Amino acid sequence: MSPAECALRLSQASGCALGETRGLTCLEPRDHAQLAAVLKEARQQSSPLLPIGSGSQLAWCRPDAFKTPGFTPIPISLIQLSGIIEQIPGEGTITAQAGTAWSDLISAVAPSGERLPADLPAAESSTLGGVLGSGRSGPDRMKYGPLRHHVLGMQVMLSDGTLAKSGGRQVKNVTGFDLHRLYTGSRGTLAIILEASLRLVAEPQREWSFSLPVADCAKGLVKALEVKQAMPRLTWLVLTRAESRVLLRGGLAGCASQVGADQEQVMAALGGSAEAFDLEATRQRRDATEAGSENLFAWDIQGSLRQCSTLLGDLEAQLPASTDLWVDCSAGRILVGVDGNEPVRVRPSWAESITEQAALVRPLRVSSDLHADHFPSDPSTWTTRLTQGLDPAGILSSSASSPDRQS
Amino acid sequence: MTEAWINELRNIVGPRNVITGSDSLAWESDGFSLVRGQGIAIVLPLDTSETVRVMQLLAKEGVPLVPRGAGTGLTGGASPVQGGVTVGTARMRRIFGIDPIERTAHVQAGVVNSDLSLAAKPHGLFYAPDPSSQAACTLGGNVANNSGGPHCFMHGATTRHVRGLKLVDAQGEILDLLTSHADPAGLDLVGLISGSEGMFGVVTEINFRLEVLPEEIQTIIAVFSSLDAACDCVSEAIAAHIEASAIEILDKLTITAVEDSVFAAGYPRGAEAVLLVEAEGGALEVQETIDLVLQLAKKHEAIETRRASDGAERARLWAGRKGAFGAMGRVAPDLYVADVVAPRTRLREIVHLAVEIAAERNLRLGNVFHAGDGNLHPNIAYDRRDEDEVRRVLEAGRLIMEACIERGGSLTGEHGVGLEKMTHMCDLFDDDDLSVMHRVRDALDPKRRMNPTKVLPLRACREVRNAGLPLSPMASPEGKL
Repeated sequence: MSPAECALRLSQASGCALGETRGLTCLEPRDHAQLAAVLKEARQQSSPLLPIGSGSQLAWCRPDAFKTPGFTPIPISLIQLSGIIEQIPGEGTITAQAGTAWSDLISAVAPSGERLPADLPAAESSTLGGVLGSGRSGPDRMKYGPLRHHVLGMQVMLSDGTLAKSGGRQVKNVTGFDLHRLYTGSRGTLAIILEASLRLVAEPQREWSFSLPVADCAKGLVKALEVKQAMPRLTWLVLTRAESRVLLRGGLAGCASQVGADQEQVMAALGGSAEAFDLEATRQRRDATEAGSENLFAWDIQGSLRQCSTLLGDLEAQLPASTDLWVDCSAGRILVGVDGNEPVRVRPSWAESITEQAALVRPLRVSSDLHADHFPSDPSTWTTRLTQGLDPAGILSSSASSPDRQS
Repeated sequence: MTEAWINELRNIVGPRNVITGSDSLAWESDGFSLVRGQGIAIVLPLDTSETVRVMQLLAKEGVPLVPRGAGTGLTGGASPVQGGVTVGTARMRRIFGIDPIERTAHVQAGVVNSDLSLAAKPHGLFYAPDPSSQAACTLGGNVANNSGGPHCFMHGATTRHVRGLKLVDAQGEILDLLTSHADPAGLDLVGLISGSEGMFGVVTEINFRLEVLPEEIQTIIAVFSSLDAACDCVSEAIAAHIEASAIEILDKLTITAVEDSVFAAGYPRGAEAVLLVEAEGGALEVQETIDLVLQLAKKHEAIETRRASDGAERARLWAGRKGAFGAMGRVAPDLYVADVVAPRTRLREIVHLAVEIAAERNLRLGNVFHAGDGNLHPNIAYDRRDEDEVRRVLEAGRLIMEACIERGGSLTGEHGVGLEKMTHMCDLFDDDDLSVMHRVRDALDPKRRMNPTKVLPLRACREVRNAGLPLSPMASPEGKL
């Protein structure tokens, strides 16, 4: 049976509508009861599901990339379950349904002088559930930390239909296990996120940003570390290599008078040839963030800042000058592009040498042959034990345990 | 049989590091002294390797175990109420290294919290979470409880500072999550383990994120003639997005106890409440924050505001705040330290309720709390030899918790669930919520040997509710189960 036929069968049996997301036929439940019905049918038919939000991160695991018959997961999206559940001005938190667009959350909190704790690319086409499920963070993690640190609680549905919450809606809370931290970044392999609560941050009074042309990324990172050392209050700091041009870009945000004083220090540390942006600072930040959209790249490399310095030198030596790079200088994360939009089918030679140095090399635009790289070998058996504990039928975790992966 | 494996434990860690008999009395409870239990032995491994051998032996013998840091927890989480073996981290005191480029520290679990900041200081760094017990509590214990502290208002609780860790699970297998990268490679197991109260294993090593020492720190004290006014001032400051690093309130009973003690900080005796606010960062932003607080304090009719004139005065003000729990020993021999979370827009209402609940039961209540986070500590001074007073204390604690939950708050902000609040989990979660937590636990510790009878109620919530007052069986003056 083809994936589309499977989806149709699940739809007919559960009463759940079908939609289309980025060229894929997709189940779109309207409420919890319909989602539970889909899950029940999926269990009965042994049909794996792939929660995809709005599909903005599909590059990591397109269902059509699975080649083993019977293991093609059916995409399911909670796009119909959207809306803000609670936002009380003065509490500094927001709770919303998983299908709510990230951009709608931004709009909802702005009137109370607040902002979400992560500046993400493609805010209009990203959903809250998708953002959390894929474990994304923005370059402003330099100031606020990764987004997963700001998830206060969640409600999820397990593949057996169990509806369960963890955490809460308070900014400080240690009641029970932080299962919402476990679900964040689990790529839908443990449970389907229904709603989540986030901590908000204050909208800064003023933003300022800079852009400095540098000879190459390795030298740019050295400069970045100098600037970071000189100014610990930087909000974001990235290196971009596009069209063979390398820029070190960063910014400040916060109290207006402090930003004014800090920008002088930053400019001094940059050495004079940087371009500064005041009125256009926000647009510059957004541009730099959008430039780091995972969909534009093929590889995601993470290591310590020390490792990054060596890695960038190696990458620049091995890659053509036309290959785009994007580096988050606070997280030690390097995104590597390739020409064209084809899935990555072969692990390049540089990836082998870099894996020996870096902690993590993940393909973003992936063919089935490389699925194993998405789920790095478990340091123990914990991941397997947790997926089996929460999803014993393998309805949600199949994409992490399919024969494709095992091959 | 038992003697045989205890001898094996002695062979692993050395005879001096296995404590049994009357020598083990100091380990029978943690800071929640109402609950006590005596295990078979206390074992103190030196490092991960010894911990592995200890845990493998205990797994082979099927012995339950309780991980323990310094025993400063306040909910009975480290009390061996089911017997078994307590695995303590007291000998794991090494700081392996501090990396000023990555701004991280690699430490053993038994390092005392405040020692890490001392070690980081020469590098221009510090470790931000600062529980009141930071001079004694250990970093492994902080990870287990996801501990907070006054400055977590700005910096967040412990979990936000853990980059990686190494844990030995119930079977004696090592889970090595000491990665060099910022994000987890797969599931965020570090996030799951932080705050799991020793239910998944013994954390032996941690890689912490450190903060840059701020250029400027300013601390002010605002004195109020009512606790309500101090609470309202904080709620308005939160709504105005104040970017302070700590916002704390102490009430009259606490002020008096502190001023009568060795922690005397110069708080004005007779004041109904003092608000302690600290700001850190660049000089200009700090000034702006402090100005805003002073403005709000004036609006809420503070009778006095004062700025700490130097580092020594600032240290004194914080010593008073952090010594407040200890100072309450002057009021009565025992202290019930409640730990609840209130919505930050309803601080005044819930603090008021706590005062009423205590007054109705003729109890001595001192409030000292992390007002900025809505994390309240209504502390009740009592004498555990007085059975009726113990009953009233527990009843008041329960009512305060219920009041918080009914108004959108939570059960615990930083002390954890432990034994004290285990049955109250049913006030916040339903059976399905708890069953998922049990499934996670069972996936990782199927025999439930890690810290048994803590955090998760073993019975269905309906049965728990019908069972009457939680903790009542433990509340005898002897404190025995």
